[in-house]
Amino acid sequence: MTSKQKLVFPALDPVTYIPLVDELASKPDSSAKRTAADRAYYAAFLTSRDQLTTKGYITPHYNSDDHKYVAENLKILLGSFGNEENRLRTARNQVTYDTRELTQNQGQPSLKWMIDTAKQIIQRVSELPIHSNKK
Amino acid sequence: MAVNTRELSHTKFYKSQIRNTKYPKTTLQESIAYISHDYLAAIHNIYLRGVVSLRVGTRAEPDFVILDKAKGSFRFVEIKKGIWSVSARKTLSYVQKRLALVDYGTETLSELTKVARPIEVEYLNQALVETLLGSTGKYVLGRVLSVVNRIARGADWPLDKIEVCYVHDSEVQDWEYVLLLLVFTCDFDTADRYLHELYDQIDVLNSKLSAEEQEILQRMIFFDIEAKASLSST
Repeated sequence: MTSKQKLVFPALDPVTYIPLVDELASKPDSSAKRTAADRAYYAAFLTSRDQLTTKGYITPHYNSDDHKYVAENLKILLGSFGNEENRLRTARNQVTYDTRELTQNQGQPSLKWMIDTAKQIIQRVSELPIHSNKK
Repeated sequence: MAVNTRELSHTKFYKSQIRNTKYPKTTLQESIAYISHDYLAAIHNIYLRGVVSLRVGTRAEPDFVILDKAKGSFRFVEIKKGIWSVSARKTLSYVQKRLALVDYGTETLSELTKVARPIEVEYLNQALVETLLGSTGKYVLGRVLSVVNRIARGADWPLDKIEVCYVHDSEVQDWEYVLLLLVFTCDFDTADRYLHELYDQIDVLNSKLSAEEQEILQRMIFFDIEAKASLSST
């Protein structure tokens, strides 16, 4: 690339979504809370994907196929706790696509659960060592 | 008082063996039955088979309460250990008091509740589940269901049902997996705690599986919960 490109979106460390999630979650309106729920999932998912990549566990696709890739690998690397990422994704899908009232009796976890779970996933992934075969 | 569930499964029960000392001529379905220790287990056999529709004349606080849902209505069984009375009835009023009532229980309550709560396994799209998992995967699923059953009964979980669901994920092309949905009658946080306890046991199971079986468990079998916070009646 010879000419200088106009930067539209700078690179992102997805863990930086978390402070934003906390801020949005404290607001009373549903749009803020739902955005917080959505970003909490993406903070966990993208941080997991990027850290697993950096540490040499996976080679990402950088598209939606990574949902499967990350979900499976977290179960392998974190044990059954890795299942939480897929639960969080399911909860996020509900919040994002269903604009009707959502209740726990319908199976919808609380926003607090979603944020706490996202933070736990990020914590566990950050504690993974560098893969021994990483070059 | 302890009910040995191992012996219970072999207990043969005949209605005539219950001595109804209060109203000797009446049938079991019409009054309290004062029974011996030996027949306490038999009562639970009846209860489990959905036969009981006893009406109770006592207002004494029970020592143990078992609440369950059968055929769309709630029944509970009260056991007053001092006089060895057992009673059961359909109820609405006790549902809200359930948590308070079970406080009267001792370690025996969990033993009794173990008996009173059969865990239903319901397949949604069983053919697709079995096709996806293959014979090895079916074996792994069976082992997983055994673990869930064992821990749920052993720890007295309010787990009513396990739904085994085939999932063709809408977000990722060609991603299919099996979801075990654990349906609890408790609040979400409690059910979530149970699921985390299950994770520990699933990890133990995983360590005992072959590499191929582990692959299936890790890549094809996922878990989630459904929590119904309060019991309601029809």
